Amino acid sequence: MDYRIDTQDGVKVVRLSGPVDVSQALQLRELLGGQIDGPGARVLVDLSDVTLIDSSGIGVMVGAHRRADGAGAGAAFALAGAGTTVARVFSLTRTDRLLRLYDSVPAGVEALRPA
Amino acid sequence: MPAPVHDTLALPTRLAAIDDARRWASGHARGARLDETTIAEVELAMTEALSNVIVHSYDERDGERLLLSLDIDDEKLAFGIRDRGRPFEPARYEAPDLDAPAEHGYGVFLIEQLMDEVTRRPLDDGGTLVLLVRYRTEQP
Repeated sequence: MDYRIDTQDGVKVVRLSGPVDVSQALQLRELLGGQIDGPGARVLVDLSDVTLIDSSGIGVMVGAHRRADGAGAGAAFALAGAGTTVARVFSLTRTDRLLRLYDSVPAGVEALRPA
Repeated sequence: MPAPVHDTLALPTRLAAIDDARRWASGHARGARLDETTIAEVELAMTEALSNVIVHSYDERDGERLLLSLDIDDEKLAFGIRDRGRPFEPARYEAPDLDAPAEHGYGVFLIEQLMDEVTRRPLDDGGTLVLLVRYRTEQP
């Protein structure tokens, strides 16, 4: 798993690529936690180039969502651009009912950007 | 029609080695003309099964090896893991509550959702064979 972070309209976009599995779960948890733990942080994870996400990766996303929920006013966490197989994992586990999933990065940035 | 595949791979009991297993299996699966959705789902089921064995049967203890097998013919793909770690205890397994999203506990559930058959059986040498089977729906 590789990643790159940039900021679009006040939203931190974390672009992941490659497989996201148990071997990088700890690294990913720390990476996302570090982005969320700022005042009013708005974090969007771009999954467009993620080839696989396993149950550990799903767990990290659920944890990040809850961390943002507990981070106070203005904080937000969402995901965007999941391909068919990656989206199916969120659907099978029904975590798509908890997590905020957007079809594309522009749609996610639009939803998360500060007013 | 591509020739049937039968191959084996010795894999270290290391989480970072799972990627090697995926590449090995997906290379064979593409050669056997499985469709990309099936390959992706098999890769995910393999990942979950291997991480379960490495984490729960070996406590992530490096330095041992799993023997993997892959068989593909015009009917199905069968992926096997032979290990000599601590056996899986079905009685201790709890299916996830899908109405209460969690940070753990989806691995076995995903394997069962993505594969057509999942079996575990003890081996004469004291080890365990985990066998995952996915039937082909497309013409080879």
